[in-house]
This record gives sequence, C-alpha cells and structure tokens, in this order.
Amino acid sequence: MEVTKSQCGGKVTFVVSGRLDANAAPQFQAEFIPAFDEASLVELDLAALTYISSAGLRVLLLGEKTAKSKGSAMSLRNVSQDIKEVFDMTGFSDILNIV
Amino acid sequence: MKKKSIERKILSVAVGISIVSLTAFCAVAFRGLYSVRAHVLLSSAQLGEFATANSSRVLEQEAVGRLLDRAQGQSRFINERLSSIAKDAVYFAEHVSEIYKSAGKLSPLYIPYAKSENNGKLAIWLASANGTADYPRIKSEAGLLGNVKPAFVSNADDMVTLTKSLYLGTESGFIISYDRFSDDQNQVFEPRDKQWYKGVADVCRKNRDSCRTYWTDPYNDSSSNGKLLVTCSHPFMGADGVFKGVVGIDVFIEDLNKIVNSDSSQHGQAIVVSADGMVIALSDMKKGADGVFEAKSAYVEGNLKYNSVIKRMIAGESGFDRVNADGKDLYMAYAPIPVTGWSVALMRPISDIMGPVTENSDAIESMTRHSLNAVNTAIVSVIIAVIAGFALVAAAVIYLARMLSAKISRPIITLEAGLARIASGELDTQISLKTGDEIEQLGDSVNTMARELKNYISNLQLVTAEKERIGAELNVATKIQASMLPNKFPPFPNRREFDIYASMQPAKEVGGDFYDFFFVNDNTIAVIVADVSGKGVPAALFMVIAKTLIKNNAQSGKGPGEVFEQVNGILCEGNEAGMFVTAFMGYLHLDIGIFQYVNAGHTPPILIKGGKCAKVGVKPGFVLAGLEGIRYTEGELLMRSGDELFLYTDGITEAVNGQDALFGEKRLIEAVNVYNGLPLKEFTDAIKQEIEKFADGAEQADDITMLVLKYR
Repeated sequence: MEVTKSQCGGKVTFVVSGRLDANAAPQFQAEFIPAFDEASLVELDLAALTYISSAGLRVLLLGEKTAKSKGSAMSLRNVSQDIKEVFDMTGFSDILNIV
Repeated sequence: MKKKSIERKILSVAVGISIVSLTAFCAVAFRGLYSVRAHVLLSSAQLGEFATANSSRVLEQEAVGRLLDRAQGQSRFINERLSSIAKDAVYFAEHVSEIYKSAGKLSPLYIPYAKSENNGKLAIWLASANGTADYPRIKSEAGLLGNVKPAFVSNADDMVTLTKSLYLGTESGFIISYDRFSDDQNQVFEPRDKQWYKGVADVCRKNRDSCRTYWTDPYNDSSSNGKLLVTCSHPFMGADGVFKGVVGIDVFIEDLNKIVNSDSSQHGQAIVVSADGMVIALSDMKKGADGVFEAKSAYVEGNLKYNSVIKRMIAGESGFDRVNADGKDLYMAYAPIPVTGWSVALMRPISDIMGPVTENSDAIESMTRHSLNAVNTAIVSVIIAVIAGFALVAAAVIYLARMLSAKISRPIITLEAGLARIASGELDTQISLKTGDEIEQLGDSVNTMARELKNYISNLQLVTAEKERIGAELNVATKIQASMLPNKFPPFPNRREFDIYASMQPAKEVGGDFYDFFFVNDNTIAVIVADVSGKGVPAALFMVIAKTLIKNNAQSGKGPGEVFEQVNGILCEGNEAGMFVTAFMGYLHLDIGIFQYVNAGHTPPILIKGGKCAKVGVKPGFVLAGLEGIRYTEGELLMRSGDELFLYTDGITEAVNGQDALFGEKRLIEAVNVYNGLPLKEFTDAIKQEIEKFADGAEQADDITMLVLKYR
C-alpha cells in the first residue's frame, strides 16, 4: 500500500493505492485519522486501490465515526468496481459518502 | 599452530631485517676494507717502483760519479808518477848536458862493460854497438859520461818501485845503464835502433827546438827478461848545443799495472791506453805463449761502442759510458793522462753498481709485502670481528625477537583461549590482560562483549519464556475457541430433516471467524457465519462476545433481523477499538423449508438448488458494531429437499496465490459446481484442497470458514 497526502485549504486528500489489508491498515490509520483534526473535509482517492480487507473497512468506519464526532466530512472518490462491491456487500455503501 | 605462526612471523621479520641490514653493513665494510687493501697494494707497488727507480737513479749516478772520480784520480795519480819519471828523465838529460859542458873540468870515470855476475844487482854498466870492440872509439866520451854515475846511483832509492832501468844512449852508439839486468850478452847494444831513442832522435835531428820528452809504446826487450815495458826518454845536448843522445827510464807495465789496478776489485778494472790505441796497462794482461806480455791494441774488433769509447780516450776526453765487453755490461769511466797522451779507464760491471739498487728494491718490496701482510692480517681480524659481531647481534636479535614475539603473542593466546571459553558458553569468563596497549583494550572489549552477551541471553531467555507463555496461552485460547464452536458431527444425529457440516481454519492461532448453529426452537435451526475485523486475540475476544450475544438473543425467540439489531446495539457500546463484525444468520424452518435470513455486511451464501448455484442475493445491511441504530432487512428463500446452502467467509474468495491473485467468487462457484453432491465433509475438504492448490504454498492470509446446510 502507498498513501500520499495533499492539503488544499480546509480539504485534505489522501491518494491510497495497492492493498489495504490487515498489514497496511495500522499505518493508514495513523496517517488518516489525525487528518480530521486539521481539515473540515477529508477526501480519499481510491482509484488505485486494488483490495480492501475488513481491517481496512474498519479504518474507514473509524474515519466516518471521527468525522461525525468532529463535525467534519469524509468522502470517497474514484471507487473501483471491485471495491464498490465490497462496500455494497458489507453495507458500507450506505454509510459512506461515495461520490 | 597459531601461536607458532605469530611467533614465527615476528621472528622471521625481525631476523630478516637485521640479517639484511647486517649483511649490507658487512658488505659495505668488506668492500671498504678491500678497497683500502687494493689502495695499499697499489700505492705500495707504486712507492716501491718509485723508490727503486729513484734510488736506482741516485745510486747509478753516485756509482758512475764515483767511478769517474776514481778514473780521474787514477789518471792524476798515474800522470803524477809518470810526470815525476819524465822530470827525472829531463833532470838526468840536463845533468848529462851539464857533464858535456864541464868536459874540461871533469876527470874521466870509466864504467865497465856489463857483466853477468852483476845480474840481479843494481849496477851501472856500459854497452856499445859493437861491444867491447868499440871501446877505443868511445872511450873518451864514455869516460866523460861516466860522471853520470853518482847521479844515477843516487836515484837507486827510486828504482825500487816503478823505475826499473835508468840509462843514457848516445849518438856515438853506446849506452850507460843503471839497473839489475847486467849481462855479458848486453855488452853489444845499439841504442840508436831502439824506439825510445828513435822517438826522440828523429825529432831532434831534424829540428832541435822540437825536441821533447818521448814515451814509447809498450814493447819487449831482451834485456828486461821479456817483461813488457815503456820507456820515457829525453834528449841531451853537447856543449855546443848539438843533439848528443837520449836519457831513458824504463817502467815495467807490470809495475804500472800494480799501481793502476791495485784496487781494481773495489773500483773496477783499469785499463791504460796509449795515444796509439795500444793497451799499456790492464789488470788481466795476458802473457803470450812465450811467457811474454803481448802488446796489443785496445780496440776490440766488432765492439763499436767500446771502440768509440777508446777513441774518445785517445782524443784525451774525460767521461763515462755504458759498454759491453766480454759479454758483460760495464760502466766505463775514463780520464786522460796528459803527460804521456795516454788515457786511463775504469770499468765496472753494472751489476756491481746496481747490486745495492737491487738490494734496495728488494728491501722496498719486502717492506711492501710486510705492510700488505699487515693489512691482510688487519682485514682478516676485522672480518673475524665483524663475523663474530654479526653472530652476536644475530643471536641477540633472535633472542630479543623471540622475547618480543612471545610478549606479543602471549596476550593474543590468552585472548584466544578466553574467546574460546566464551564461545563455548562460559559467559562469566573475564580476560585479564595488563599489556597497556590495544590488546588490553581488545581484552576489555571482549569482556564487555561477554557481559553484554550474557545480559542479552538472559533477556532473550526472559523474552523467550514470555513468548512461550503467550504462545501457550494462545494455544489454550485456540483450544477454547475451538471448543466454543460446535465441532461434533453429526451434531444432532436424531434429526433427519437436515444435515450440517462446518469448519473453521484459522490463519493465526486465534481466528476472528466463527460459525454457529443451534436450535432456536424445536422446529427451527439457526446457522451463523461471521467474521470479526482483524485477527488474533482481540478479534477472538470480540468474536466470543458477538457469538454469545447472537446465540442468547436468537434463543430468546427473536427473529434474525431483531437479533442483529439488538446485538449491533450492544456491540456498539464501548467499542473504542472500532471493531466490527460481518455476519450472516439464517433460520431454517425445518417443517416448511423456509430459510429466513439476515446479512450484516457479510459475503452472501451460495444456494445449491438442483445442482445449480446461486448467490443468496439480498442487499446486505451494515456490519455489526459499526454504527448504532442500523436496521437489518430480513430475506427469505424456500429450500427444497436436497438443496444446500453454502455459507463462507471472505477468507475463501480473498485467498491469494504467489502472484497476489484472488481466489475469487468465480473459482469458488466452479468448485462448488464440481464438488456438490458429495457428503458434506468431503465437499468442504474438496473446496479447501482447491484453495490450497490455488494458493500454491502462499501463506493463508485470513481465516477460512465454511458451513454447509443440507435440507432433506
């Protein structure tokens, strides 16, 4: 997995590529969750994400919960069909802001 | 071996360096010595040659000078002696002239004819051309001239040495002689035929003024017993001044020789040469066969050099030259005898002269040899000293190098032994080295290393023990988890309405997946497959809670959706870790075959109906423990006899191979199509084998859980 972070005003964008699995999730969580302290909108660009495991889903869920508690927003862009299927199957499609 | 090799290395380096430097030093020293020797040799030789040449020259010059001096001395001596003889001749001639002048005043003094009886005695005697027969004719003049007797006799003293005969001869043909040769036979004597007479008379008769003393060449005379002699003659005149006769004084060559060659052995052989080139005196004058000395020429036939010297002698020169005579190299020094026009020469073999020179050069040579011997001896002793020093230094170097190498290698050996003990596990080993150098530092470092190693090992033992403990506990947890999942098959042997089989293969010791089945009521069996996010102990703990909650709620008579809603609510409380569970639960109503189910974000099961597979396609609800207040929609499907439901977790579809490819739903459905109809356990085993075949050794990333429910 590779994560690149960029900031533009109140918006922080993470470009996540590769596999977001149990091995990669802790590292992603460490970079991703603190972003809600500094930005009103955290955007994830998942165009190059090939796989997401339950551990990865958990980080996204944590993000969503953190956004809610901090009053900020989280959105997902360029979600591929494979990843969308996972979101659909796990019900994440319902709670995540996928644009 | 190691000990020896270190020692030997140091030893060989030290010894090598010192031997090379010593050898170089010795080579330089020997070279120096030999160049000194060569120099001494050369300079000695040069010195010897120079000294020899120099001294030869000096000696030669000195010897030749002496020879010449001697020759000149001889010439002066002979000249003097002959001059005195000549003076005597003049004196007696003048005396005779006086007698003629005093003819009137003197009484006749008759001298007897020679008598043999007086032979050998000094006697005065008379002889005439015709013997006694002449007497009357000559009586008056002979009587007058007899007055010479006192003068002649007074000369007797002189007649011991050189002068042998003193006489006068007259124009009238008689002779009065004073000598030891009286003989009757001498009574007849014609003086006017004799050379000594003619030599003077021939001149005086022509021209009175040219009269002078005359010296004959050596000649034989019967009256002198065959002895070679020369005569000095001088004319006398009558009262009228007319030439009357000649006074003669005989000198034996023999006697002259005695004078001339008295010391020939010391100063060389002497030779006296007359103005005519005749030998007058010679040390080894030969007597002829008749026992008489031969008058002979001084010239030697064919010896040009010698003859040229003779010519210079005759010319009255004084000098010296090198000649060869009788096969000998000689120095010849010559000087004139003016009174007679003769010349005397001294001859000395060059070898005699050069003898001292040879001695001299021999002496110098021997001195050179001595000094060379001394130099050689000195060189030999220096060489011995150098070799002895060499051996001494080499021995000292070897000894010191041995000590040094032992000093260096001993701590290394100690260190090596200590390290060997440490390596064998004696970590309390402390190496004590007090060398005060890097080796001591190394020893200290080794000690530190041993201590650190010991600490590390004891820490490691603690950690290992801890890990073992945790591992053991995890093992226990796994067993607990396994015991929590129903694992007795068939679980309900007396129920014929359905068949069920389930398995969970954890990825790590404790998995996050679980399955469960139980009777909700006598007619309804509940089946659950769930997956807790994450793995390991936290997932297992969360799984236990979820499983317990679901079972408790389900058995309290609630419908599946209500159960999930309840459980979700409870799980969300205090879920600080943000864990969640995907779960699928269904109730199979055994009497009617209705399968009532709910899906909380879980992989949909596969329904195998008449050999055909279909996903149980209800839109899943959100995962359990994700968000509070989620509503779960229930679905239903009708199962007929023989239909099977295959519940599983994403550990199957997301199993990966070495190329990161997912096993996927498609492969799963194909496998299910192939293997359905088998007994349930064999069916799940076949699916597992397919997954393993696909993974091809890649590590199992997630728990693999399967549950098959067959409705009969």
